[in-house]
Amino acid sequence: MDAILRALIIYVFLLVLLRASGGKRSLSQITTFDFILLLIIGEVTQQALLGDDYSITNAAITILALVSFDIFLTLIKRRSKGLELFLEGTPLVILKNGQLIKDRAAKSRLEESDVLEAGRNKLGLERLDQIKYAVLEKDGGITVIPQPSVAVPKGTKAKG
Amino acid sequence: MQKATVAQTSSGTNETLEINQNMAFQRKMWTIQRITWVVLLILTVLIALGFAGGFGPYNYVTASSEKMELSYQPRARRLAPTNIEVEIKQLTDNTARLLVSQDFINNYQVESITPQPDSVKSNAEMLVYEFSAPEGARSMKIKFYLQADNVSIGSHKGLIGPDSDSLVKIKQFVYP
Repeated sequence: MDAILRALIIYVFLLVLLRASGGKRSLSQITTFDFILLLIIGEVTQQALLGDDYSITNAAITILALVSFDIFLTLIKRRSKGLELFLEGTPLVILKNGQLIKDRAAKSRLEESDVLEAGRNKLGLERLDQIKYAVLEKDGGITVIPQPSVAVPKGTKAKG
Repeated sequence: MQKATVAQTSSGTNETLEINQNMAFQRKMWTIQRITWVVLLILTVLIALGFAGGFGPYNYVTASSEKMELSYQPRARRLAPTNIEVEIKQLTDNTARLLVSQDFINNYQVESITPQPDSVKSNAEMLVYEFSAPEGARSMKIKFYLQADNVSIGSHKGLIGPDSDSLVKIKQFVYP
């Protein structure tokens, strides 16, 4: 019972904390510092999840509980649009016709250089004015849609 | 989710992007994020001050009576070490006694006691520890090294003192 309770508390705590504090960019673009942070969170969580019981049974119970919560949450999400919105967020247009929508970008902790990088990486674009729309997707990735007049090399993809 | 195209959210021509953008929700999330940052900052300061147990200026209390001084951490954490320090004063012979509520001490694993007691006896509600004091000593310091038990989450109260007339209240909250 205590193993399931521990797993539930940690699961909900991390879910709410990461969603409410970080925003979508934090998990999509992992910098070296984010990577270190994730490693430490993983290590600390492991101790809190298992307590002083390192048995295979306890590990199996914890994994089972976490997978069950995840499935349960997915089922609830399908019924509750509000919860789905909170957990997954909404896509956000951050650039239109070459112009960065500054307040949205700032609040999403994005800069012009991030959009340019996405344009270069995905479509080989050189300038902002070649971009018709840039969208910050629910998963934190940036989708770039080029202006119709811009020739995009074959085999490139807008989202990644 | 409210389905909207960019044409509805901005002015301009040739609006063709179909997207499930929910700006009302997004604004709420930005507000929640900023509130969360402030809450995290406040929590960090409170934790550093000792309000979540561990070391910190607000996690150390003292209490005293004529015959005793007591210091301990009012907040502990499950399975983490915590100490109780007692100074027994006005010793009249070479034996120092310390009474501790069983209801209180039973919530902890007593890792060690310094100096070691010569004997531990149990009366109705108290454990009576007896220590040998140095020859001619007027006071004696005793330290309990404790660890909150696996099931001792919550608030624990008790009494501690050299005799039943000089008992001091002790209260500790154990975080999960």
